[in-house]
Amino acid sequence: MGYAQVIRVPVPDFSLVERCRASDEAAFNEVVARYKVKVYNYVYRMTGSADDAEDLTQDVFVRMYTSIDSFRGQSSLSTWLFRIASNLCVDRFRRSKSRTPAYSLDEPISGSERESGHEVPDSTYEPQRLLENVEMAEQIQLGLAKLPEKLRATLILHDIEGLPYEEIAQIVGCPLGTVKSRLFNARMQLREKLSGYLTT
Amino acid sequence: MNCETTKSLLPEFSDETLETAIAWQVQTHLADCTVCTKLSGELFALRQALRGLPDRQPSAQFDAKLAQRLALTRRPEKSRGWDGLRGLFHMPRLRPALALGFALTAIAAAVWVPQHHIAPPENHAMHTADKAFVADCVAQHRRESTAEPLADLAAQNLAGHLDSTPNFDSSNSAASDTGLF
Repeated sequence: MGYAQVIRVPVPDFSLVERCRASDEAAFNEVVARYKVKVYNYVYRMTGSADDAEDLTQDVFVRMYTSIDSFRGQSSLSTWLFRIASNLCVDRFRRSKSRTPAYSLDEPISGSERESGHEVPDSTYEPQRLLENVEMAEQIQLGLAKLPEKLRATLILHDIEGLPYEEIAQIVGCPLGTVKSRLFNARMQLREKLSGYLTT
Repeated sequence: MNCETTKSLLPEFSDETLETAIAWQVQTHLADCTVCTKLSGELFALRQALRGLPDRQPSAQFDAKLAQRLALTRRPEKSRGWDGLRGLFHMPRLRPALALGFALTAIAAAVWVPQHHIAPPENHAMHTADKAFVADCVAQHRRESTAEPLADLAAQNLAGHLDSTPNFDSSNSAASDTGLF
Protein backbone atom coordinates (compact mmCIF):
# COMPACT_ATOMS: atom_id res chain seq x y z
CA MET A 1 0.00 0.00 0.00
CA GLY A 2 1.50 3.25 -1.06
CA TYR A 3 1.44 6.54 0.76
CA ALA A 4 0.64 9.72 -1.02
CA GLN A 5 3.24 12.20 0.03
CA VAL A 6 2.13 15.81 -0.02
CA ILE A 7 4.93 18.31 -0.22
CA ARG A 8 3.95 21.87 0.39
CA VAL A 9 6.07 24.18 -1.68
CA PRO A 10 6.07 27.72 -0.35
CA VAL A 11 4.48 30.20 -2.71
CA PRO A 12 7.19 32.45 -4.17
CA ASP A 13 7.12 36.11 -3.20
CA PHE A 14 6.51 37.42 -6.70
CA SER A 15 3.40 35.31 -6.96
CA LEU A 16 2.15 36.69 -3.64
CA VAL A 17 2.84 40.21 -4.86
CA GLU A 18 0.79 39.64 -8.01
CA ARG A 19 -2.07 38.32 -5.95
CA CYS A 20 -1.80 41.25 -3.53
CA ARG A 21 -2.09 43.59 -6.52
CA ALA A 22 -5.30 41.84 -7.39
CA SER A 23 -6.53 42.56 -3.83
CA ASP A 24 -6.20 38.95 -2.70
CA GLU A 25 -6.56 39.15 1.07
CA ALA A 26 -5.16 35.67 1.69
CA ALA A 27 -1.98 36.58 -0.19
CA PHE A 28 -1.58 39.75 1.85
CA ASN A 29 -2.01 37.79 5.08
CA GLU A 30 0.61 35.34 3.86
CA VAL A 31 3.08 38.17 3.29
CA VAL A 32 2.37 39.55 6.77
CA ALA A 33 2.83 36.12 8.34
CA ARG A 34 6.06 35.60 6.43
CA TYR A 35 7.74 38.91 7.24
CA LYS A 36 6.21 40.43 10.34
CA VAL A 37 8.73 38.95 12.77
CA LYS A 38 11.71 40.01 10.64
CA VAL A 39 10.39 43.54 10.20
CA TYR A 40 9.35 43.78 13.85
CA ASN A 41 12.79 42.71 15.07
CA TYR A 42 14.56 45.16 12.79
CA VAL A 43 12.34 48.03 13.93
CA TYR A 44 12.64 46.96 17.56
CA ARG A 45 16.43 46.96 17.36
CA MET A 46 16.31 50.37 15.68
CA THR A 47 13.92 52.02 18.14
CA GLY A 48 14.53 50.03 21.30
CA SER A 49 10.83 50.21 22.12
CA ALA A 50 8.34 47.36 21.81
CA ASP A 51 5.41 49.76 21.41
CA ASP A 52 7.11 51.79 18.69
CA ALA A 53 8.18 48.61 16.98
CA GLU A 54 4.61 47.32 16.92
CA ASP A 55 3.25 50.60 15.54
CA LEU A 56 5.95 50.97 12.93
CA THR A 57 5.67 47.36 11.82
CA GLN A 58 1.98 47.91 11.25
CA ASP A 59 2.80 51.08 9.33
CA VAL A 60 5.11 49.05 7.10
CA PHE A 61 2.34 46.64 6.13
CA VAL A 62 -0.21 49.41 5.68
CA ARG A 63 2.26 51.17 3.40
CA MET A 64 2.80 47.93 1.54
CA TYR A 65 -0.95 47.52 1.12
CA THR A 66 -1.44 51.01 -0.26
CA SER A 67 1.57 51.09 -2.55
CA ILE A 68 1.90 47.52 -3.77
CA ASP A 69 1.20 48.77 -7.31
CA SER A 70 4.35 50.87 -7.19
CA PHE A 71 6.52 47.85 -6.34
CA ARG A 72 8.39 47.19 -9.59
CA GLY A 73 10.07 43.98 -8.59
CA GLN A 74 13.54 45.45 -9.06
CA SER A 75 14.44 44.19 -5.59
CA SER A 76 13.11 41.33 -3.54
CA LEU A 77 9.96 41.77 -1.50
CA SER A 78 11.91 41.54 1.76
CA THR A 79 14.33 44.25 0.59
CA TRP A 80 11.40 46.49 -0.26
CA LEU A 81 9.77 45.89 3.13
CA PHE A 82 13.04 46.59 4.96
CA ARG A 83 13.45 49.77 2.93
CA ILE A 84 9.98 50.94 3.94
CA ALA A 85 10.78 50.07 7.56
CA SER A 86 14.09 51.91 7.38
CA ASN A 87 12.45 55.04 5.96
CA LEU A 88 9.71 54.94 8.57
CA CYS A 89 12.30 54.66 11.36
CA VAL A 90 14.16 57.67 9.99
CA ASP A 91 10.89 59.62 9.81
CA ARG A 92 10.07 58.64 13.37
CA PHE A 93 13.46 59.81 14.64
CA ARG A 94 13.13 63.09 12.77
CA ARG A 95 9.66 63.73 14.10
CA SER A 96 10.62 62.98 17.67
CA LYS A 97 13.47 65.51 17.17
CA SER A 98 15.60 63.38 19.37
CA ARG A 99 17.91 61.12 17.47
CA THR A 100 18.22 58.90 20.51
CA PRO A 101 15.87 55.95 20.32
CA ALA A 102 13.30 55.52 23.04
CA TYR A 103 15.14 52.86 24.93
CA SER A 104 14.77 53.14 28.64
CA LEU A 105 16.88 51.55 31.30
CA ASP A 106 13.75 51.32 33.40
CA GLU A 107 11.78 49.49 30.77
CA PRO A 108 11.23 45.96 31.91
CA ILE A 109 12.75 43.41 29.60
CA SER A 110 9.49 41.64 29.10
CA GLY A 111 8.75 38.81 26.78
CA SER A 112 11.08 36.91 24.65
CA GLU A 113 14.49 38.15 25.65
CA ARG A 114 14.17 37.22 29.31
CA GLU A 115 12.20 34.16 28.48
CA SER A 116 14.40 33.35 25.58
CA GLY A 117 16.33 30.74 27.46
CA HIS A 118 14.23 28.25 25.59
CA GLU A 119 15.88 29.33 22.35
CA VAL A 120 19.42 29.12 23.66
CA PRO A 121 21.25 25.98 22.57
CA ASP A 122 21.32 23.08 25.03
CA SER A 123 24.94 23.57 26.01
CA THR A 124 24.16 27.01 27.43
CA TYR A 125 21.26 26.04 29.64
CA GLU A 126 23.22 26.52 32.85
CA PRO A 127 21.73 29.34 34.97
CA GLN A 128 24.94 31.34 34.98
CA ARG A 129 25.24 31.26 31.18
CA LEU A 130 21.55 32.09 30.85
CA LEU A 131 21.97 35.13 33.05
CA GLU A 132 25.01 36.21 31.06
CA ASN A 133 23.07 35.87 27.80
CA VAL A 134 20.21 38.00 29.11
CA GLU A 135 22.60 40.61 30.40
CA MET A 136 24.49 40.57 27.11
CA ALA A 137 21.25 41.06 25.17
CA GLU A 138 20.41 44.06 27.34
CA GLN A 139 23.87 45.51 26.90
CA ILE A 140 23.78 44.99 23.17
CA GLN A 141 20.45 46.82 22.94
CA LEU A 142 21.87 49.66 25.01
CA GLY A 143 24.97 49.76 22.85
CA LEU A 144 22.90 49.77 19.66
CA ALA A 145 20.83 52.67 20.98
CA LYS A 146 23.99 54.74 21.32
CA LEU A 147 25.14 54.16 17.76
CA PRO A 148 24.32 56.72 15.04
CA GLU A 149 21.23 55.70 13.08
CA LYS A 150 23.02 54.84 9.85
CA LEU A 151 25.61 52.66 11.57
CA ARG A 152 22.91 51.02 13.67
CA ALA A 153 20.76 50.18 10.64
CA THR A 154 23.70 48.65 8.77
CA LEU A 155 24.82 46.60 11.76
CA ILE A 156 21.33 45.29 12.50
CA LEU A 157 20.65 44.37 8.89
CA HIS A 158 23.98 42.56 8.48
CA ASP A 159 24.90 41.08 11.82
CA ILE A 160 21.44 40.39 13.25
CA GLU A 161 19.23 39.91 10.21
CA GLY A 162 22.05 38.33 8.21
CA LEU A 163 21.47 40.24 4.98
CA PRO A 164 24.27 40.45 2.39
CA TYR A 165 26.07 43.74 1.67
CA GLU A 166 24.33 44.20 -1.71
CA GLU A 167 20.86 43.97 -0.22
CA ILE A 168 21.74 46.39 2.57
CA ALA A 169 23.03 48.86 -0.02
CA GLN A 170 19.62 48.72 -1.71
CA ILE A 171 17.74 49.12 1.56
CA VAL A 172 19.66 52.07 2.93
CA GLY A 173 20.35 53.55 -0.51
CA CYS A 174 24.11 53.89 -0.47
CA PRO A 175 27.09 52.33 -2.31
CA LEU A 176 28.53 48.97 -1.34
CA GLY A 177 31.74 50.52 -0.06
CA THR A 178 29.78 52.78 2.27
CA VAL A 179 27.94 49.76 3.67
CA LYS A 180 31.27 48.06 4.42
CA SER A 181 32.78 51.11 6.08
CA ARG A 182 29.62 51.74 8.12
CA LEU A 183 29.65 48.12 9.24
CA PHE A 184 33.29 48.38 10.23
CA ASN A 185 32.69 51.60 12.21
CA ALA A 186 29.55 50.21 13.81
CA ARG A 187 31.34 47.08 14.97
CA MET A 188 34.29 49.03 16.32
CA GLN A 189 32.04 51.43 18.24
CA LEU A 190 29.83 48.68 19.61
CA ARG A 191 32.91 46.67 20.59
CA GLU A 192 34.12 49.61 22.66
CA LYS A 193 30.75 49.92 24.38
CA LEU A 194 30.68 46.21 25.16
CA SER A 195 34.34 45.87 25.98
CA GLY A 196 33.65 44.40 29.40
CA TYR A 197 31.34 41.74 28.06
CA LEU A 198 33.22 40.40 25.08
CA THR A 199 35.38 37.46 25.97
CA THR A 200 37.55 35.90 23.34
CA MET B 1 50.49 43.24 5.61
CA ASN B 2 50.49 45.83 8.42
CA CYS B 3 48.10 46.28 11.36
CA GLU B 4 46.13 49.12 9.75
CA THR B 5 45.34 47.13 6.60
CA THR B 6 44.51 44.06 8.61
CA LYS B 7 42.19 46.04 10.85
CA SER B 8 40.27 47.39 7.85
CA LEU B 9 39.87 43.89 6.44
CA LEU B 10 38.75 42.21 9.64
CA PRO B 11 34.97 42.65 9.08
CA GLU B 12 35.14 40.92 5.71
CA PHE B 13 37.61 38.39 7.13
CA SER B 14 35.15 37.46 9.88
CA ASP B 15 32.33 37.32 7.31
CA GLU B 16 34.50 35.02 5.20
CA THR B 17 33.91 37.18 2.14
CA LEU B 18 37.56 37.97 1.45
CA GLU B 19 39.41 36.47 -1.50
CA THR B 20 41.42 33.45 -0.48
CA ALA B 21 44.80 35.08 -1.13
CA ILE B 22 43.97 38.16 0.96
CA ALA B 23 42.37 36.07 3.68
CA TRP B 24 45.58 34.08 3.82
CA GLN B 25 47.61 37.28 4.27
CA VAL B 26 45.32 38.41 7.09
CA GLN B 27 45.63 34.99 8.70
CA THR B 28 49.41 35.17 8.47
CA HIS B 29 49.44 38.62 10.05
CA LEU B 30 47.13 37.48 12.86
CA ALA B 31 49.48 34.61 13.64
CA ASP B 32 52.26 37.12 14.37
CA CYS B 33 50.35 40.05 15.89
CA THR B 34 48.75 39.76 19.30
CA VAL B 35 47.01 43.17 19.06
CA CYS B 36 45.19 42.30 15.83
CA THR B 37 44.46 38.80 17.10
CA LYS B 38 42.79 40.26 20.18
CA LEU B 39 40.75 42.67 18.04
CA SER B 40 39.76 39.90 15.65
CA GLY B 41 38.66 37.74 18.56
CA GLU B 42 36.54 40.51 20.03
CA LEU B 43 34.89 41.27 16.69
CA PHE B 44 34.18 37.59 16.25
CA ALA B 45 32.65 37.38 19.74
CA LEU B 46 30.56 40.48 19.02
CA ARG B 47 29.29 38.99 15.80
CA GLN B 48 28.40 35.75 17.59
CA ALA B 49 26.57 37.70 20.29
CA LEU B 50 24.59 39.68 17.71
CA ARG B 51 23.70 36.57 15.73
CA GLY B 52 22.64 34.88 18.95
CA LEU B 53 20.11 37.53 19.91
CA PRO B 54 16.72 35.90 20.23
CA ASP B 55 13.88 36.97 17.97
CA ARG B 56 11.25 39.09 19.63
CA GLN B 57 7.64 38.51 18.70
CA PRO B 58 4.97 41.11 18.01
CA SER B 59 2.02 41.07 20.41
CA ALA B 60 -0.80 38.56 20.03
CA GLN B 61 -3.10 41.39 18.93
CA PHE B 62 -0.84 42.39 16.06
CA ASP B 63 -2.87 40.75 13.29
CA ALA B 64 -6.21 41.96 14.64
CA LYS B 65 -4.93 45.53 14.98
CA LEU B 66 -3.52 45.44 11.48
CA ALA B 67 -6.78 44.11 10.05
CA GLN B 68 -8.59 46.94 11.82
CA ARG B 69 -6.26 49.54 10.36
CA LEU B 70 -6.48 48.08 6.88
CA ALA B 71 -10.26 48.16 7.04
CA LEU B 72 -10.00 51.93 7.48
CA THR B 73 -7.34 52.32 4.82
CA ARG B 74 -8.36 53.08 1.30
CA ARG B 75 -6.26 51.65 -1.43
CA PRO B 76 -5.49 54.10 -4.24
CA GLU B 77 -6.91 53.50 -7.71
CA LYS B 78 -4.75 51.45 -9.99
CA SER B 79 -2.58 53.58 -12.22
CA ARG B 80 -3.77 53.81 -15.80
CA GLY B 81 -2.81 55.44 -19.05
CA TRP B 82 0.62 56.99 -19.07
CA ASP B 83 1.39 55.84 -15.55
CA GLY B 84 0.71 52.27 -16.58
CA LEU B 85 2.81 52.68 -19.70
CA ARG B 86 5.59 54.22 -17.65
CA GLY B 87 5.53 51.13 -15.48
CA LEU B 88 6.64 49.10 -18.50
CA PHE B 89 9.93 51.01 -18.58
CA HIS B 90 10.66 49.98 -15.02
CA MET B 91 10.35 46.28 -15.74
CA PRO B 92 13.91 44.98 -16.15
CA ARG B 93 12.88 42.04 -18.33
CA LEU B 94 11.10 44.25 -20.83
CA ARG B 95 13.84 46.84 -21.17
CA PRO B 96 15.95 45.08 -23.86
CA ALA B 97 12.84 44.37 -25.96
CA LEU B 98 11.67 47.97 -25.64
CA ALA B 99 15.12 49.29 -26.55
CA LEU B 100 15.28 47.00 -29.61
CA GLY B 101 11.80 48.10 -30.68
CA PHE B 102 12.71 51.77 -30.45
CA ALA B 103 15.95 51.21 -32.35
CA LEU B 104 14.23 49.34 -35.21
CA THR B 105 11.52 52.00 -35.45
CA ALA B 106 14.13 54.75 -35.65
CA ILE B 107 16.09 52.91 -38.39
CA ALA B 108 12.91 52.23 -40.41
CA ALA B 109 11.91 55.87 -40.16
CA ALA B 110 15.38 57.02 -41.22
CA VAL B 111 15.23 54.80 -44.34
CA TRP B 112 11.58 55.32 -45.33
CA VAL B 113 11.07 59.04 -44.81
CA PRO B 114 13.68 60.41 -47.29
CA GLN B 115 12.41 58.04 -50.02
CA HIS B 116 8.81 59.05 -49.62
CA HIS B 117 9.21 62.68 -48.87
CA ILE B 118 6.58 64.73 -50.74
CA ALA B 119 6.41 68.47 -50.38
CA PRO B 120 3.09 69.90 -49.33
CA PRO B 121 0.86 70.57 -52.40
CA GLU B 122 0.54 74.35 -51.96
CA ASN B 123 4.31 74.83 -51.56
CA HIS B 124 4.95 72.65 -54.60
CA ALA B 125 2.57 74.72 -56.77
CA MET B 126 4.11 77.97 -55.58
CA HIS B 127 7.58 76.70 -56.32
CA THR B 128 6.61 75.67 -59.87
CA ALA B 129 4.95 79.03 -60.58
CA ASP B 130 8.01 80.92 -59.34
CA LYS B 131 10.32 78.89 -61.51
CA ALA B 132 8.16 79.47 -64.59
CA PHE B 133 8.08 83.20 -63.93
CA VAL B 134 11.83 83.45 -63.52
CA ALA B 135 12.37 81.38 -66.69
CA ASP B 136 10.08 83.77 -68.59
CA CYS B 137 11.97 86.78 -67.30
CA VAL B 138 15.34 85.32 -68.28
CA ALA B 139 14.14 84.40 -71.72
CA GLN B 140 12.68 87.87 -72.25
CA HIS B 141 15.88 89.49 -71.03
CA ARG B 142 17.99 87.41 -73.40
CA ARG B 143 15.76 88.19 -76.34
CA GLU B 144 15.83 91.89 -75.70
CA SER B 145 19.55 92.06 -74.87
CA THR B 146 20.55 90.15 -78.01
CA ALA B 147 18.26 92.13 -80.33
CA GLU B 148 19.07 95.65 -79.16
CA PRO B 149 22.05 95.65 -76.77
CA LEU B 150 22.40 99.41 -76.77
CA ALA B 151 18.73 99.92 -76.20
CA ASP B 152 18.94 98.04 -72.90
CA LEU B 153 18.64 100.87 -70.40
CA ALA B 154 19.89 98.79 -67.50
CA ALA B 155 23.01 97.74 -69.44
CA GLN B 156 23.76 101.33 -70.42
CA ASN B 157 23.52 102.49 -66.82
CA LEU B 158 25.76 99.70 -65.66
CA ALA B 159 28.35 100.40 -68.37
CA GLY B 160 28.38 104.07 -67.47
CA HIS B 161 28.85 103.24 -63.85
CA LEU B 162 31.75 100.93 -64.54
CA ASP B 163 33.47 103.47 -66.85
CA SER B 164 33.36 106.08 -64.12
CA THR B 165 34.81 103.68 -61.56
CA PRO B 166 38.56 104.34 -61.10
CA ASN B 167 41.09 101.43 -61.42
CA PHE B 168 38.55 99.32 -63.26
CA ASP B 169 39.92 97.66 -66.32
CA SER B 170 37.07 96.09 -68.15
CA SER B 171 39.38 93.99 -70.30
CA ASN B 172 40.77 92.16 -67.20
CA SER B 173 37.74 92.15 -65.05
CA ALA B 174 35.84 89.12 -64.17
CA ALA B 175 32.87 90.83 -65.68
CA SER B 176 34.44 90.67 -69.10
CA ASP B 177 34.69 86.91 -68.75
CA THR B 178 31.02 86.69 -68.42
CA GLY B 179 30.51 88.16 -71.81
CA LEU B 180 28.56 91.14 -70.62
CA PHE B 181 31.01 93.68 -72.25
